[in-house]
Amino acid sequence: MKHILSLLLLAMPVLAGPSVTIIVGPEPKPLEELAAKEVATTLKQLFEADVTISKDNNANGPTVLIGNPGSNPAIGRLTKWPKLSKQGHLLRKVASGRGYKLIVGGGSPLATYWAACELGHFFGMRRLLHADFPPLKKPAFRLDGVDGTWEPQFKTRAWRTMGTSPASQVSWSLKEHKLRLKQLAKLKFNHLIIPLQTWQPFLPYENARGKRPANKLWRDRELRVDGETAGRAAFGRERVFDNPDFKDARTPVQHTEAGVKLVRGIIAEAKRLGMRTTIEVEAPVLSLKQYRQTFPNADAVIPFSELVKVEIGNQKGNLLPQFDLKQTHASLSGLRQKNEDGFAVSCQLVDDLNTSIFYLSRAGFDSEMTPKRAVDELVTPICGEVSVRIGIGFDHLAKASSLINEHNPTIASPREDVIMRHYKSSQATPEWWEEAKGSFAMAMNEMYRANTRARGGAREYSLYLAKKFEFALHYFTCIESLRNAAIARSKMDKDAQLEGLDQAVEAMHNAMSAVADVDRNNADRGIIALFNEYGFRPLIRELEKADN
Amino acid sequence: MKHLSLLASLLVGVAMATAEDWPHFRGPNSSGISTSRNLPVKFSHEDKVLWRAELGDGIGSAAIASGRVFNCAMTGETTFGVFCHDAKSGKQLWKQEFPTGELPRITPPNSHASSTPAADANRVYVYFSTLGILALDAKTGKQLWQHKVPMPAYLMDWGPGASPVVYGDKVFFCQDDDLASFVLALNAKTGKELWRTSREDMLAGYATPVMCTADGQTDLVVAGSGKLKGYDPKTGEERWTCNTLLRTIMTSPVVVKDKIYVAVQSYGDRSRTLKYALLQWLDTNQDGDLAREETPKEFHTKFDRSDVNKDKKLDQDEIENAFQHPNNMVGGGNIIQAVRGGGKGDVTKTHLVWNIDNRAPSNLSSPLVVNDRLYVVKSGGLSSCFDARNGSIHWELTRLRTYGAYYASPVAADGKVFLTGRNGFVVVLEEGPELKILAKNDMDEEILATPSIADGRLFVRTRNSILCISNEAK
Repeated sequence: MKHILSLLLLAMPVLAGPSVTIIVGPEPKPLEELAAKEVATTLKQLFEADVTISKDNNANGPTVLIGNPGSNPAIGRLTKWPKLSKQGHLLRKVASGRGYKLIVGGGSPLATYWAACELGHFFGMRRLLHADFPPLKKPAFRLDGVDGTWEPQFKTRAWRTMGTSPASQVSWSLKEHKLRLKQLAKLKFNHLIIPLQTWQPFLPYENARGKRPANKLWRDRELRVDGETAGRAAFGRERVFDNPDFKDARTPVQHTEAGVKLVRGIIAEAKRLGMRTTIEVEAPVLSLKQYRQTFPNADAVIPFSELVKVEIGNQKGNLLPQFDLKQTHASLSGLRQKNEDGFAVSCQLVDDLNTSIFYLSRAGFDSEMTPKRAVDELVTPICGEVSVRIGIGFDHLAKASSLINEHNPTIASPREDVIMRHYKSSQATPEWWEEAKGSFAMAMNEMYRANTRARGGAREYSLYLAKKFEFALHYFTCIESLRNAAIARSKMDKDAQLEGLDQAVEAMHNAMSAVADVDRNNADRGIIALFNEYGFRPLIRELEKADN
Repeated sequence: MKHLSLLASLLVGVAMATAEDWPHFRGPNSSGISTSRNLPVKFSHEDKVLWRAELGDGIGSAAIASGRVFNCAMTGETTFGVFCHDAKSGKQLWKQEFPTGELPRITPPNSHASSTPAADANRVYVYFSTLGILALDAKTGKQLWQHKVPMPAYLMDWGPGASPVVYGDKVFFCQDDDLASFVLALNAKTGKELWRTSREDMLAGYATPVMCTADGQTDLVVAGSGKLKGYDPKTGEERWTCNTLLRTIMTSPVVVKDKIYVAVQSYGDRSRTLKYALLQWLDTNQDGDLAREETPKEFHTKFDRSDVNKDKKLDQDEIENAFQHPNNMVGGGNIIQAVRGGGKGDVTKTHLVWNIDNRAPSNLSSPLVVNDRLYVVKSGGLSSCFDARNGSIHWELTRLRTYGAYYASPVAADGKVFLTGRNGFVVVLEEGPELKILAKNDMDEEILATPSIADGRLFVRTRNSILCISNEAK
């Protein structure tokens, strides 16, 4: 079978610009239309194909059929349809007349859409959470080996959005949510859980029933942006960090209006992409009813989702980049052993975690998926040979993550004393700091090494990670320097104390600048805003105090 | 500014920049010094702003000639823009845009619009990697000529950053890259190439050429890997070389009277030749050899030449000379030095006036010499000042407490020194032997470009805008 579709494509010009007809059924469902558009986009982007989407099955030349025999009778006439679940999907080439046709189909319109995304994956297109990355080497317009059928290993692959921190998804505008949802749908996530807090502005103000007005997305105080903001290049000319959709909200009522609009928009987009939506809010029954009334399009409003969480990245609010693919793999293996048929991904800093998310996406349909394979399959097409370095970098990162989890999982969880507490002790710096810092440094070096060599989209991928690891490196330098200042203070060594404080300020500045160099979403800007409030400014004040 | 008038008298030219112009990077002779007076000390993005204009992404400085301010910017993803504003009113007099074609790889925070224009009363000369050097009519923006130059290639993908300079009737341009470095002179009016001299022993660098007159001899002086060189501005003939510099030279020298001052940091110690950097960053599989595919394709010809045993790998010995010239195997370090201009041949032993190894210099921000004091500032807001006569220290590595990287070079006028940080602060020092901070001025946006000064106005080019700071502002 491998060579059959290549024959199909022998009819197509080998060089750029083949003409391809995409056939949809007579009454295609919106997700089937989306699938057709996805195939068209892929063919145009990778092969500069001249693509026509049509309901007319009489097209000559290369043809792609979208759907299943139920939605697109042409498919039924062409092949015996296999037994597929509603989530099952396939790519199949079929002989037809003088040539061959390609079927992109599934057991449901949603599954058909996933099949369309799978075609892009086959050609080397990789979906990161912020964009699609075409393969480094332009693939030949051949479909050898494209045949495949996919059935889910886990029927529910849920994504938990929102949060309670400025550095979480709750800081994203609807535009950012839409972009990420689109990417998650391409990665075959099929359920969106929207955890809300009763104190957040997601219930109409007039329904608050005399309780404390809900009007804050997070509990932190106002996060200002001014001349005393390290890494402020990330904020443009904004004066206060906020969710961009709340920028003009002044009153509690306006905040709630913005909040309701945001959640309704998220639900609408998720449903458009075929996802089930669940609002999770720990609230009295009466309030749950109010949430249902406010968000009638949500499939469910429940106090607690029983889906097992797969936690990737740090779960203690720590904002340093942290992930360990082997740990994620172990979590998923555990779920398999318990015959769980679903999971919900919980994470905070999504753009740090593309590799983990990719692994979960593939492992959701492939029980043989391993962390190493995931890195290879994600990175090699878009980064080429540098994937080896990136893999080594991830090993160093896993070591740093493990040290943090073992010794102090909240070492970089922003709160009032997150930095200055290290100034209270005059004990020598813990040895593991040095070790974690070293691991972050090595992870960073590997990313820079990969970046120097990388071309195309891979440069952005490796640079983002390099800068995030650099942020962590500077963060550890900051607390080390601060501890050194505290030790010097205890010895009444004023010069060394001031130098330590100066170095701590500088390191925090550099840490924030590193994030600002690559900030990719509003949660990244949230990191900068938080560590200015709880790190940079308290350090400056302490330095000024010590210098007087 | 005595040296400027001396220089002016020596150069025969048309449309010579006036004393209050700032004709190219760092002003007259790239010194960073203006004769302007009455410059504001305290200002901000809102205070003392005479005018402001949005330009687009860029890190080159403004050039000012005959009351016109010239800037370059990326005005679209693949569109390069040249702007002309009236220096006093800020009125945009013209804007020209050019499609760039496919852009080269660069490393942030570099910008594709990294070059500072050069200008005189008649023309503005701009450089862009894919376009070469263009001359535009200063009054109308009409393109007068274009001189193509090879695209620079960088082993580490730093990206282009060279700027043309104009002296009299000539435009000089030095492009030190890792492939085929050169310096050239063009007829400012016609764009005709007058001469081009290869700098084959250079590695990538960003020093701007300066003029130095000593013992009646005027040289075009260019700092580069390991060597400070003097060229005959009329012919491009290399007259002298002083082999006292380091591997990577990103800062520009400054000239006072017959002395040339260099302050630079190059990563690593004296033994760290290019080989070690390549093995650290380009040797992807870290096997200690450099494979052909591990080098950018622009360098494959050079690679093949050095691959003696033709195994498509450069071993440690082969790497040594593959990209760094065998007669110029310099490493890293820190130097501040004064070199007497003029002479013939190798002047290393005869013209080095003083040299100190001090951590004070930046790898990016050039030194400033004013009233026999040499100022430098580096990452972290660490400022230092030395006696330019002998290198003795006035203060060193003292924190300004405006943090982050310093790409911009110091400039001076009116008894003040302006130090500009990437964090968007312009720190004003009193020019003198003791560190006295007069103000820290917040410009509200990242700044990599060196400010320009003319006619009592300070022009601050932020990442996306140009602000004219003046006491004329209401």
